[in-house]
Amino acid sequence: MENTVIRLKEVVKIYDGEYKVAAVNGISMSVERGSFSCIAGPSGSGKTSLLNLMGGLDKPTSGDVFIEDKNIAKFSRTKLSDFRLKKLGFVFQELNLIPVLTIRENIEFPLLLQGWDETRKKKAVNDIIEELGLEKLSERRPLSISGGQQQRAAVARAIVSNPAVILADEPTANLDSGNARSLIGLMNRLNREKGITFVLSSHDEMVLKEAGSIIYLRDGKIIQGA
Amino acid sequence: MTDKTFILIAWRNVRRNGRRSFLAVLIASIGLTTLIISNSLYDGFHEKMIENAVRIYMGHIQIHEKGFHQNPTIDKRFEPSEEHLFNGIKTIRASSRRVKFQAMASTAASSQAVIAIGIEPEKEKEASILKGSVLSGDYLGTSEEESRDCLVGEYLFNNLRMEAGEKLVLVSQAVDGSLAADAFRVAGVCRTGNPDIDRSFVWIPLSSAQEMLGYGNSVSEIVLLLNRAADVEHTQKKIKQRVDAEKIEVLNWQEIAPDIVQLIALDIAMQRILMTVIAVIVAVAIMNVMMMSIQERFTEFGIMSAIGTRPGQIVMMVLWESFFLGILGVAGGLILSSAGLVFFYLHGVNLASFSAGVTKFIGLDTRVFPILKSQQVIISAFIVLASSTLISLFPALRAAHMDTVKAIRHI
Repeated sequence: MENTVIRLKEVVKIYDGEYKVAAVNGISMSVERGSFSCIAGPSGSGKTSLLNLMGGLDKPTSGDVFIEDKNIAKFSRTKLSDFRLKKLGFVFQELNLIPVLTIRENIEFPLLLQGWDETRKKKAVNDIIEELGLEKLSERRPLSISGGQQQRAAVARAIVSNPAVILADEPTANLDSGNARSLIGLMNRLNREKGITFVLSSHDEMVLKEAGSIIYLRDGKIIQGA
Repeated sequence: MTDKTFILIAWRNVRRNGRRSFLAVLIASIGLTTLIISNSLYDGFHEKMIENAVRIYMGHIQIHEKGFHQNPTIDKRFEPSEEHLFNGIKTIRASSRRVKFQAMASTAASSQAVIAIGIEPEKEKEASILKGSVLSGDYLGTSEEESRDCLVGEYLFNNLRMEAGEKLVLVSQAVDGSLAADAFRVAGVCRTGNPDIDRSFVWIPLSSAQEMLGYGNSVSEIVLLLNRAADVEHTQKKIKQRVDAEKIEVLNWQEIAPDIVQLIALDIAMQRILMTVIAVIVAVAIMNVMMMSIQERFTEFGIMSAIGTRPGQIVMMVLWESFFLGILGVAGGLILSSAGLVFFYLHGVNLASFSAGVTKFIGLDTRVFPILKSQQVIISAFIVLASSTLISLFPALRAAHMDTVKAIRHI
């Protein structure tokens, strides 16, 4: 239990629309600290919904979502916001970065929100920029660099404050195979060398090959893994 | 530190879509320019209207026997001691004693009811614009042979089909009830610009009026012109302390001509309506820009929210953005209005081109020049800035409380 960073208990997410759709249908699972997990499944299987519930971006219709033993399903909007800031890092499919900030300022952003002091913040940002090879891009704006470079910067922003877990929703979906391989390689290295926990959603075979564990979903239910 | 970052983001967002921001700033600038220039012209118009009313005839303060203002009959008269009334009051620029009565004016050709004013020619020169309004002929003199001269208003002169130098007979009632009549030579014709005065006033020397009515040294009124309009209240108070309030009334121009005060109050109300309309136009324009800007940045707000930005911080960021648009609008408005004010200071606005009857209120020079009051500029700038910033609260709240998941997918 101590090594479990995410635990879901009978989680259900129903979207009310013209028809009721159970995007996540009674899922119970856990994610180990330091793991590199991937949620796989066809389109509409509930991958993104499950990831959103793990990240506190969405609230379950029923069930509990524990991050480091805190049930975030019960949190208020503001408390969730603070929790995400301190405990979670996110990488989305695209448009991850704030366009009017430079790459350095984007990476700094979560640290500013957390109120880090100038010296500590500067060191953390410089270390990440160096580690991810973003030195030449650091003063450029997101729209002036490639999609692959933007995703690397998004990873840098996600890990800069040492969160408990990084959630990445189809991070390679809009990248060519070369950039996709490079990005997954980077995440894998950070997982191996720094012990950072990654949970990805993807249906890309290349990503699934790199994953330490795979959870297969269909119609909002786990059909294999966990 | 965090706040600085949100301010930086807000500022860069203003520059991000230059054309749209320029449009919002332009609308705010034009709005502020309209406010400043229209307020300055309104103030200029009001000042001119007051100055005109005071200088043509009324003066800043009038002193009469009690009840004369409401019912100006010949029996209401008083014998003032000017030395006692005005000694040591330095705010008085000029004073003039008058006898005012109704009379029938007749010439060989026609006759008409008039208002006759007995004046001290030399003192009246200082207290009113009468001497300057002499259109043809001469102003009243003080010599014995000039004691039967009179001045008549331009329209009256025409209505009575007079000629220069012709005799005019004034018939009225003396204080003892007997018939009072005297003949005067028309020495000059006046055009004050006030049609009511130019249609019915006849000016004669004070001594002739006193003699005609059997007034002795009594007068109907004393008119005071002060150094500044702002001196009225305390000067009136000082004089009131020196008179018997049971017998003498000391009235200021606002009490004498409440219609002017009401006209100005009405104008100020119109000014406020105009200010409100402009504030609404500026606010709606800025809100429109902010709504479009937020609509385009749904995903961005979603990502910011996902990584831990609080709703309050998003609200502040959007408000800062519209505040910057407002500040730029105010700066632009101050520059534009300065240029506009310079133009109007040099050329004025000729109100006669809008309304022929305007001379009744502002005199013969129908050009109005702006009067810039710093308080008005500050209030106008504040209205533009506050309306542009506060109206963005609605789009700001929308941005802050959007569904994070939907926002991230809104590509």
